[in-house]
Amino acid sequence: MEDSISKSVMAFITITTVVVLFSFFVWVFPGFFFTNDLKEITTAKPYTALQLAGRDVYMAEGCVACHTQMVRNLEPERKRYGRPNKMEDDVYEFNFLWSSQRTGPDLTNIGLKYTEGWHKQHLINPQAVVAASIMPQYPWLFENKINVSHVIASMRAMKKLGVPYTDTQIENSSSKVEGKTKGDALVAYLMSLGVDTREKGGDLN
Amino acid sequence: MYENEEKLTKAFVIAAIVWGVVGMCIGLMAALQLYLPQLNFANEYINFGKIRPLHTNAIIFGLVCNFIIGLSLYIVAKTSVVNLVSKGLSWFLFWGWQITLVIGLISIALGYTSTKEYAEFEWPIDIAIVVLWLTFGYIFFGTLAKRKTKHIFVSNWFSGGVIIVIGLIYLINNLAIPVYAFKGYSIFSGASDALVQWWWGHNAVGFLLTAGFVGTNYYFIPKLVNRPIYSYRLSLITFWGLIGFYTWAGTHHLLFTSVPTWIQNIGIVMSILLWIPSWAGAYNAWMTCTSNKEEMRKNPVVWFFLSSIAYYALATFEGPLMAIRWFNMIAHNTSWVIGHVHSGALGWVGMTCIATFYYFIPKLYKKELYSYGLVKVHFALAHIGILFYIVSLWIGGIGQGVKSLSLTESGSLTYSFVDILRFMEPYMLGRAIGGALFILGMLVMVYNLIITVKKPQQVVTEGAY
Repeated sequence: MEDSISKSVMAFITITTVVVLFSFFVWVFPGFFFTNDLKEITTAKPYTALQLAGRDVYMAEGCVACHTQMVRNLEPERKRYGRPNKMEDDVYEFNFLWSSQRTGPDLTNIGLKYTEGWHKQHLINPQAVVAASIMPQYPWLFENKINVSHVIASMRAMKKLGVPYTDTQIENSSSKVEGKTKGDALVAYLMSLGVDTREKGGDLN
Repeated sequence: MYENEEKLTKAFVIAAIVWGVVGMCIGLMAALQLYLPQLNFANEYINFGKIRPLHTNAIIFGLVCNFIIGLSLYIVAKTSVVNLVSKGLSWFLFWGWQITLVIGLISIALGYTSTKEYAEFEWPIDIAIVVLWLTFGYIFFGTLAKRKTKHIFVSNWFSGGVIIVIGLIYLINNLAIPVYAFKGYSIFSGASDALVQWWWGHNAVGFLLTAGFVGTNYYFIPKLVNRPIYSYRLSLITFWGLIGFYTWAGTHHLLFTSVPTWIQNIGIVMSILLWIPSWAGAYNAWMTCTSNKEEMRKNPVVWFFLSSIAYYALATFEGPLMAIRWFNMIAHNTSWVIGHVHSGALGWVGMTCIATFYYFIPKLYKKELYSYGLVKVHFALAHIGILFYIVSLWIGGIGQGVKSLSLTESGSLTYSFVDILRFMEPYMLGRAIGGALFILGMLVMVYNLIITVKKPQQVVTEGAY
């Protein structure tokens, strides 16, 4: 085999591709089939139009650069951030937003912790709320309006991907987001985090 | 005979240096923002959430890809004793890559991002990158297929491996349905999306940042020290080890998350196995590099190669360590990870690039390097810079991890999040200073190389350093 790959380009390409794809078939590919079983057991609810618009703002602003949405099942993490993620919680999360850096706190269950007013004030000027914070200020979010047609397109795309939105829901969505700012949407999204997956008696410490 | 290849390589190498310096400056900005949040200027386009992916993408797709594409095409033509299959396509690849990258970075600043790490570019950019990558593959393998030598030279295995793996994984990880222009959603959700992403994320490191440079080193180090590769057998072990194990290890990014435990454990086992081919490769390169004692003593370019191999050995030791559960528990999500990445990125990738630039650019322009004294200055700046950087984040990151997990005797959290932020502050500054010193070294290199290239033509003399 060594000899053939050092002499034939086709052999090289074929053997390398096959070796590389082993890992794909063992632990990446099975993941594609999780979804249907997870949908059966999940307590996660699809985002409302405004929350979904807020999620798009969360993605666009690169919040994942500093905030995780993955509480690991370790005692100190449960104490600090609440209920740990289960696989079924994220079944409607196209794309996943777990992130890999905790420069700021985890946000998995942040909707259970603060009020809308707190979030708005904190997004406009984090240092006014937490003096030692190193989070950027986002005042413009509360000046820029949401693009309504983008929200409808997002919901349609989510529906195609298997999120159970009804056509009426999508049609009615424009009235729900009309005139709202990006900041309003982001706050609505943050307020929804951890709410639907909350367990009885499992409040955030 | 190689006029076009040399011209093309010059273009790619210059592009790599320009993107490298720009990308590092953006990185310094990011580092400073984490120390002084005022530097976000409450601005929509240059706050940390935008700057961070701009930094990683400028470095990976700008510095690293230009370096790998340019030099692998040069090496494949030279070692196959033929010209590249297509002159036109090779220039399409060069300009296409730069234009795509500029549009991609602007789109990230405007907020069009998939948020998946090192795959932030949205679907139109992804399509452009896949087309360009296939062009790269066609030129590379097409050239290799008409080679006049019997065997495929070892560097070309690594470059070929990079082309295949990156092409496949980039494509699969970026599968998305378009929502509107420059916005798409991944066709995978939650845990499955996480698995695909870290299959990609880890291999972007393993192939773009590792195998590609291992490949160019097998060409440039023997040339520089004028000695053959130490062991052909070890290079075989490195190649099959990287191809065979690397693509399995990605799930060590998902330990303690909600993905099934058996999948997490595959990542742990494979990460530890990966230690073997990594150090086999490091040993082979080290022995090749030190085989010419006189060159090793006198030539600071050799020192850069040796340092890069030492940092490679360090980073590939740290990697398996961080994949072990009790270590990962502390290190995961902390700045330690950033420190680990940079001992690889500044130490291994950075110093390999630097050494190659110092050796190869004067050769390409048929000039003698202007100043070996300045190379020594750069050497000192680069080392002090990296040490500042990684030691700061070792201390800061371990502290961050330990404090986050610390519980008092009564079982409550010992430190608030703000306590941890305050603790990190000096280390954030230390990291920024390290980065600044490294960039200063890069500027010394740019100056040295500009003077070298601009010098009037001269006869190359022996032992000028």
